[in-house]
Amino acid sequence: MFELSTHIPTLRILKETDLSAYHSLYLGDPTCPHVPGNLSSHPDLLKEALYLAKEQGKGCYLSLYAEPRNKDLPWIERLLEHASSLPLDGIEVHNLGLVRLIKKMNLPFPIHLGSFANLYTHETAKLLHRMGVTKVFPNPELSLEEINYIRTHAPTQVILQIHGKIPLGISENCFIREYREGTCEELCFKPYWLASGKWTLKNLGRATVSGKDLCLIEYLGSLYWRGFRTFYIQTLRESKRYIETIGTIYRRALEKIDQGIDDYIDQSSIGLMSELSSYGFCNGYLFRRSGHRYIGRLFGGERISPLEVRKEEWSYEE
Amino acid sequence: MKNKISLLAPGGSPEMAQAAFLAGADAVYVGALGWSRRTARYELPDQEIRSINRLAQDMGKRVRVALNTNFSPLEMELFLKKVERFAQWGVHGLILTDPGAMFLVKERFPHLEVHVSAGANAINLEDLRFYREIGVDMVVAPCNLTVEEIAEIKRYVDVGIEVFLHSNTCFTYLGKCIMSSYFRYQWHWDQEGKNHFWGSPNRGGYCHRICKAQWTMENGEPTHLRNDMFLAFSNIPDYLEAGVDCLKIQGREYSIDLIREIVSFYRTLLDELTQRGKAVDMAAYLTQLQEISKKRDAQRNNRTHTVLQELMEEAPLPV
Repeated sequence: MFELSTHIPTLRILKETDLSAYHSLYLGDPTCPHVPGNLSSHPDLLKEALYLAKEQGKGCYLSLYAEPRNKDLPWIERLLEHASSLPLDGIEVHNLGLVRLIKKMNLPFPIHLGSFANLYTHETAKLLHRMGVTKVFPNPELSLEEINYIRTHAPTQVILQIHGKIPLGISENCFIREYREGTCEELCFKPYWLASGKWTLKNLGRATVSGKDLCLIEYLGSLYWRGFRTFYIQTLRESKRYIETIGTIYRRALEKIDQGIDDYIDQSSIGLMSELSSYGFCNGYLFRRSGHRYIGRLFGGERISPLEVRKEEWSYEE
Repeated sequence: MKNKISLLAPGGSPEMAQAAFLAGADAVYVGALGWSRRTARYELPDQEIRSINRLAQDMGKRVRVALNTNFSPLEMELFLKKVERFAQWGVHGLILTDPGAMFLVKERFPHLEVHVSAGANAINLEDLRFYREIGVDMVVAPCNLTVEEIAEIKRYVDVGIEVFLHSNTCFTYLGKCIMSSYFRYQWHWDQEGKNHFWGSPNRGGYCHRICKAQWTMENGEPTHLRNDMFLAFSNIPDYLEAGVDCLKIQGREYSIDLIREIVSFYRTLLDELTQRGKAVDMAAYLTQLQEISKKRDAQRNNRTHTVLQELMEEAPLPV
């Protein structure tokens, strides 16, 4: 068995999108509390969304704001008090102070450590496990061998991003509000691409993500058989079609892998993924290389023999 | 003024450390080769750190060793051996970023002071409580924090606070950016087996300063990713009032003469503030500081230009 999850920031997206591909949902947008309708800053909307998602049989995690300052702590504490009576399955936290706060409040929920929390080592995972953290997103900058080392040397489960834009940074201020006039309602859900020569980035306001989509479809089988079971697709500010199509492609692939089918990549899915990607694909940092490169046989990737990849990525003794 | 505040200066080389001590720094921080948030050319081999530590002990000063990269989980044993060596040499404190590493150091070497690096991005009261509870002694406050936030932290959390006197506020929160390594990243091991992670400011210290490149929006409209200069000068009396414990001068990459000048400037200012409080003529000091800042900016701009040039041309990365 495996788990496939994604973030659903608002009630509108939850209602309008077919989420049947996903087992579980991170409710809320952790990058900015001012995202219109953000489920993690509107307790009333959160409750409605949670019950809707539960009716669909989804696991539901509340995703808290990633970079809270002192002034944010009181409203987050109120949100958590409200959440304590809800049937949540966990809380995603990107800030170590909030891990402490949840522990102090004795909330009955497992904690998932988000990618902005900068988890780089198994020792940090072990320390945080004592404070209630059960699942971790390793920092995207880690290689597969490092992620696997954490997975096998700490009691926490590792959540692996397998598709979507890579979170590259988070800021104090909203880039969009600095460059565009208008309200958050008018500005927030449009795509903002940044270019410099051959480089591309996408801006989400306070967060900046990769221009290319991370894509691990061709490595999914080896990841699965190595023991990874908890997978995540990053879909913040993506279209309804993106969330549905990419989720379905990976769900089907994972089900085939689970059944022992080697030929798990449906050729039509390659075309669909390409259609949905504005600036192409990358593998992130998993193969010890710059995050924007794509190593592999698909999408015109850089061809490195599987042996070489295997030697580099799985070289340590388990 | 509430307490005696200490002045921390960079030790980019033994000569710089000595100049800083003589100019009035209470302590210097040095980067262990491959382990700090700067490139190798501004870091030091262990034996040079040992000699700086001896010099510090002779002069009644202190040394903090920065091991504040987000190193690999596979390097944890190497890290602990390094820490053991510095502990045996009587180094006073370490600057760290990884919470798991901090916890292990405090468990195994309780006499070593642990300072939370600015790269750990401790930005609220609960963060500070978290770090205090795992045993750390001092937290370096990110530049984003206001005087009021720092005062609130000092009021409610019994932990030392260190602030930068001048720096740059990155486009993102410090320690929360992997844009540089997204565009160019190389693994490179040194003779000790430490990976320098070229291209990652969090892991190896070499930042390509992507945010300083020329950016356009999708329609071609020029834009820039905000990266402002941070100068704490006017806040210093308030920092002292708030109970800040340490003021940090950044700049292992600057010239020794410039560091000597900066340390001397702040030493004189701090001594006068300690004696005369808010009666000090800050405007006169500001004029003097503006001259120093021009030299600092020239050295920084040259460096940024070189770094971006190297990236664009994909030139070999420096060791």
